[in-house]
Amino acid sequence: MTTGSTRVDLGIKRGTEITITVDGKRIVAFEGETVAAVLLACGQRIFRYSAKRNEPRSLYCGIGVCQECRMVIDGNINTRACMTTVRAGMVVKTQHGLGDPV
Amino acid sequence: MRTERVDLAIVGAGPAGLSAALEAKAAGAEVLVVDENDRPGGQIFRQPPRAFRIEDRAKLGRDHKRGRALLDAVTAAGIGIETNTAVWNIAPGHLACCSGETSWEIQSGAIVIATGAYDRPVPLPGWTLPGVFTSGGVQTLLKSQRVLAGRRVLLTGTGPLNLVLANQLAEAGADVVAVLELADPGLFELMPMLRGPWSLLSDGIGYVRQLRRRKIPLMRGWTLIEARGTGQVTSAVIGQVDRDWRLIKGTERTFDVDTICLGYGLVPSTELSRLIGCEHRYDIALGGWVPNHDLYRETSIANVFVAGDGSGVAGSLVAMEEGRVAGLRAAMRLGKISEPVFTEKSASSLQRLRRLGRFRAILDGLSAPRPGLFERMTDDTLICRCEEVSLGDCRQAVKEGAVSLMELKPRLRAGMGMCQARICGPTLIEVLGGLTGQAPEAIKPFSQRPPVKPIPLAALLDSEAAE
Repeated sequence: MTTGSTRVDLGIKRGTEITITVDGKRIVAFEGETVAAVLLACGQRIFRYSAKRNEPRSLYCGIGVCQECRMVIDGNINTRACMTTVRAGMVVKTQHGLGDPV
Repeated sequence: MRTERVDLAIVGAGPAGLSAALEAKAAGAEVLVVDENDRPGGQIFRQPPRAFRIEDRAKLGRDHKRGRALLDAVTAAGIGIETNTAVWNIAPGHLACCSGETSWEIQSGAIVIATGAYDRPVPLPGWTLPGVFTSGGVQTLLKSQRVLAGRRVLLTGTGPLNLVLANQLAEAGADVVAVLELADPGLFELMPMLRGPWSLLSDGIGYVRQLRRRKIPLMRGWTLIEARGTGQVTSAVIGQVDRDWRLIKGTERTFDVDTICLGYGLVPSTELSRLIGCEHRYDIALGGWVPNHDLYRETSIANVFVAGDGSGVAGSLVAMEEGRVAGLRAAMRLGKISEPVFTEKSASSLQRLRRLGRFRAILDGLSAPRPGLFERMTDDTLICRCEEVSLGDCRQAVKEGAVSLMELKPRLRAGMGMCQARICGPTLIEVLGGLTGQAPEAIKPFSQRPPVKPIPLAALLDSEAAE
C-alpha cells in the first residue's frame, strides 16, 4: 500500500501523476483513476450532503447505479464520482443538497 | 442524428453480451455491442483503466485472466463495441443511445439484452453512512482502480462474493475483521452439491480454506444489525440469526471498523426488458422481477433475447453459456444459420447450463432472501436513499390507505429520485408486501419510463429535434 493512501500497486503501474482540486485543496491523482477512487484513496469519504436530512453520503454501489456519489465536477452538478475519470486541473466540489450554489 | 444499422444489437459488454456477440458474429451476423462503462468486461471482468500499465497479470486475479481470454477473442473477431454509451430508450428493433452529450440510435433486426445485475440493497440502521459500501462496489474499486475502500473491514450478507472479496482485501493489505454469513446450512443441505460441477464446489472450499489460513473468522448465522458513527462508520453492531434470519435477542456484539461491505446477493437490471414490454415474473431466488424467456433465451417479444444476470442472477459461468445460446438463436432468427445448425452449435452450452443450473439451485436456496432480512430496519431507516423516504414514512402511507407502489410514489416521492427506483424498488416490494399482507409477486414494480439512464438534457433535446 502506498504510504498515506490506500492505493494498492499490485500488478499495475498507475498513469501519469496529475493534480486536481477538491473543495479548493490540491490533491494528487493519477491518470485513469476515477474521482471516487482518488477521494477514497486519500481518506475523503464525504462526497455530498443529502437534500432533506443534510446527512453525509459517499460512494455506495460503486458501479453507477445508485447515484449516491454525486458531486459538482467542473461545474456540473449531480455528476457521479464513480463514473468520472480524473483529468489534470479538474475541479471537484462536495455537493450540498440538490447542488445549487451555496 | 447518427443512425447505425446492424443485424444484432447487444446491450451490455459483460460475459453474456460478449459471448452472444462472438457466436452471432461467427454465424455471419453483423453485431454492435453498447456498454455504459469505459471498458468492456462488465463488472466481473472489469479491467484496470487504459492509462494504467499492467505489469503482472497474475497479481490481478483469476477473473482478470478469464475476462482477458474473452476480451481477446472479441478483439480478434473484430466485434464493434461502443463504450461510455448509455441506452436510454428501447423499442423492438430500436435502441436510443447516448455517448457523452450526443444522442444516436441503433436499428437492428434483433436485440440481446444483457444488462447484468447490481448488489441487492438491504436497508438497516446506518447503511447510508460513508464507509458502508456494497461488496460489489468495493470489489470493483479494488479490481479496476486498485484502491482499498478502507483499512479495517467487516463483510456482511450472504453468498460467495463476500468470501472472494475478503481474501482479495486481505491480500491487498486490508485488516479484515470478519465475514458474516447469514446462511448456516446443515451438511445435508450441502450434500447435493457433491454431484457437481466439481470445479465450482472446489472453488468454494478454496475460498473458505484461504480465509482460515489468513485467520479471518467466517461467522455463519451472524449478520450486521447496525452501522454506527458520526460523519462516517466507526463501529458495527452484529448479532446471531435463526434459520429465518431473524435476530436472536441478546447475542449482540460490537466491532470497531472503518469500512463495512454489504453483500446480500444481486438483483437483475431489468429496466430495458420492462420498458420494451417483455413479460416478467417474480422469482426471489433469481433476484426479484425477471423477464420470462424460453430455453433459447427468447422473450415474449419476437427478436428480443435476454441473457446473463439481467435475466436472473446465476453468475458469470452461466451468463457466458446463456449469451452463446442467445447469440446463436438470434443468428437463426436473422436467417444467418438454419435450425439444425443452431441445434448442433448450441448443444454443448445447453448441456452445461443444465449442469450449472442444478448447482445454482442449491446455492440460491441457501442465499435467497428470508423474512428476517428486511427486519433490521427501524422506522427511521431510509429505504429510498435518493428522496430520503424511511420505513416509518411507508408505514404511515399504508395506514392512510396506500396498497401499491403507484400509490406510495406521489405521497412520498419514493422511487422518483435519480436512481430511478433501482435502489428502493426491490426493498419496497418486500416492505409493502409485509405491511399490507400481500405476496411480493402481487405488487407491481414501478413502471419504466425513458430515459431509463440519466442523460444530459442537451442529448435529449438533440434527439427530439431529430424526430
